[in-house]
Amino acid sequence: MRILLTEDDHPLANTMLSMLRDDQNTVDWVDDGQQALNALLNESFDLAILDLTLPRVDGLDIVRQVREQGVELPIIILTARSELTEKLQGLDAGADDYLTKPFAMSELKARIRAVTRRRSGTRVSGLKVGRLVLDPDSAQLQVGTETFVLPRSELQILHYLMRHPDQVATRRRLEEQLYGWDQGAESNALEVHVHHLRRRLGKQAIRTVRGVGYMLDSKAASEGQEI
Amino acid sequence: MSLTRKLILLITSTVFMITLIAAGWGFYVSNHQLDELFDAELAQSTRIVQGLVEHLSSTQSIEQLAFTLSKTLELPDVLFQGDEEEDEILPDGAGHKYERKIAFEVWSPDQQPVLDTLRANDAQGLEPGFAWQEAAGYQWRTFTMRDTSTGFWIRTAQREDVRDELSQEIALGNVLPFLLALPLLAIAVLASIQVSFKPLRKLEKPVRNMAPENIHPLDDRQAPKEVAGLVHAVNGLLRRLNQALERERRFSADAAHELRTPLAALRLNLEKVYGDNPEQYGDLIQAVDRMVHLVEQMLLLSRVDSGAQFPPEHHNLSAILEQSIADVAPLALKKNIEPVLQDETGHSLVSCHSALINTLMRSLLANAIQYSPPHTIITTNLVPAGEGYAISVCDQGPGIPAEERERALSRFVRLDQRKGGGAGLGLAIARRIAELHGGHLILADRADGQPGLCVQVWLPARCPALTKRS
Repeated sequence: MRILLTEDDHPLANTMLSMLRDDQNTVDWVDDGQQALNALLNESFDLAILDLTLPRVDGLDIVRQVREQGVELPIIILTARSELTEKLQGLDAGADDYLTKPFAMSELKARIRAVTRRRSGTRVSGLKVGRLVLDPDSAQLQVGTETFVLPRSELQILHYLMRHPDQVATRRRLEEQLYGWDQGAESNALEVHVHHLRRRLGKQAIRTVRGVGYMLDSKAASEGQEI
Repeated sequence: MSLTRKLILLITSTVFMITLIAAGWGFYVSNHQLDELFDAELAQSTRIVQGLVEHLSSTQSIEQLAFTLSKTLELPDVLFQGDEEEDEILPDGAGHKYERKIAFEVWSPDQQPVLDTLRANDAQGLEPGFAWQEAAGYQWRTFTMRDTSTGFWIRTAQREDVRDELSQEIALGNVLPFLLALPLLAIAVLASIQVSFKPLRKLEKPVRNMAPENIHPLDDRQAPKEVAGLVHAVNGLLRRLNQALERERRFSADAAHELRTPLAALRLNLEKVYGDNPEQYGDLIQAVDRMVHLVEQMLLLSRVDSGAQFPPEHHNLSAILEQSIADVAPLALKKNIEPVLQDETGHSLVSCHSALINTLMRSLLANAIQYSPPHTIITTNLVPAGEGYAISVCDQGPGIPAEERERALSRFVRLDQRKGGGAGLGLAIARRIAELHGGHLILADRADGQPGLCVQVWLPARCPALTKRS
């Protein structure tokens, strides 16, 4: 994969270069906005990593101009500011993702994988967390060797939880997934669905945070505790 | 001394002084005029008696003359008895009591007394003209003249207190209304001052309500001309203050940038060498992460302190709390600590800044997780309280002794130094955010008497500081 790295802080850029190259990528590095803009408009890259604060041409302007010229490559912006507005501006301008400094390399690599996958249009056929493999289109859930076909509600819940493993999904969020904004459901409907899911996945796989929501525990899902 | 008191004292005492001077002057002038008037009257009375004497002396002997005169001019004895204070007109209509304040004396040409209603017996040294004389215990004003055709001496006397009484009454009559009006004047002055100072009090309110995040110039059109300069100067000060705060806000943002980039480089470099010596570099990565956390916290606090612009919106507090707990729950579960939310409202609308309330809750929960032993519960409670909501976050950790609680809320204080990780800013940030919303935060014991800390936050449903700007 050919990556353009635009970062004006040389020590940071050097480290990123060597770490990205370790993964068999071709990485080119520029340290000012004008050069980055020229490179992106005239050459072909698979991905751009762009610092927001750059000499000569601002990172946001680069994103805007590149998109105006119809260049479609995935762009990840790096920002040293944690204000939400700055991130939103970046996304609005046409960036695919953002990362706040400082970050772990593993996180950057994960984001790179995610945006390139999204861009290349390759649909992930199945979601996989530990021993669980879910195919949302066919509503088929595979737990180890067993295969179930999930009812719609359970599919919606599990699909959301598997897309956010080890994160707590609030009841509010899950109910929105199930019913949209119409609060037509019975108050304990969610509990019933989760109860059913637990029977299939094992008790420990979905953890309850009382009064808040549920979390899919990837560790428990891997260990494959049975009912 | 207040301006009101000063003005009232100055104005009333000035008016009082002027009244006194006017009264004194009036007294002097009226005295003088009265003296002349009375003197002229005295001379006139003398001339009437002279005419009488002249008329009588042509037909009567001196004895007869004395008899007739005394019959006409001698006062009845009843006038010499009785009290000064009795009715002015005698009951039988026989005369006026003031008559005894006028006396007549007549002497024959050889200076033998013919009539003496003054009862003074002072024939010697008769001289024409006005004079003062003492008789019957009073001062008298006298006018003496000699009738040139008959040679009779005639003197009319008037008691001095008649004159004094009159001039005093006139002077008092002039001054009294002023003296009586003085309290009314003070009240009128007070009322005028109150009315005139109203614009000043109007200026006071916006200054009192001004917070660092909400600095705006005062309306100098409302200010009276006398304080326009002061208002102008205050506006200048406010403008400079706002600029200083703005610089601080910018500094926070700039510092964030300047610190984060080298930290990112440092962290990635450590990651790169981590494989060679995981134990050593693992600690270093943790140290860098702690520093990152500290930088984040400091910048957050500085942003909150300098009152960065936080437009308030209506949010469901329940949802914010759920999300905050959801955010930190994985960390808690990893340590085998169970976070629980007990929400008695279900839906609680407050005007707030949701990201800040989320930060507040996460600070409290992170603090609770840090000090909780495994297999304990962290309970978050939300109940309506007064015109707002009370949130409590209670853990089953060691708690904080009552005498240490105030210190625990100050910045960069970690009570238990052995438990690393935090920067000692979490509770300070949480408290500042609560205050920014017009609420408060206190540390308390658990209600059930078990060991552990309960952080209690109260937030108003309508945040006073934030709603003002919208």
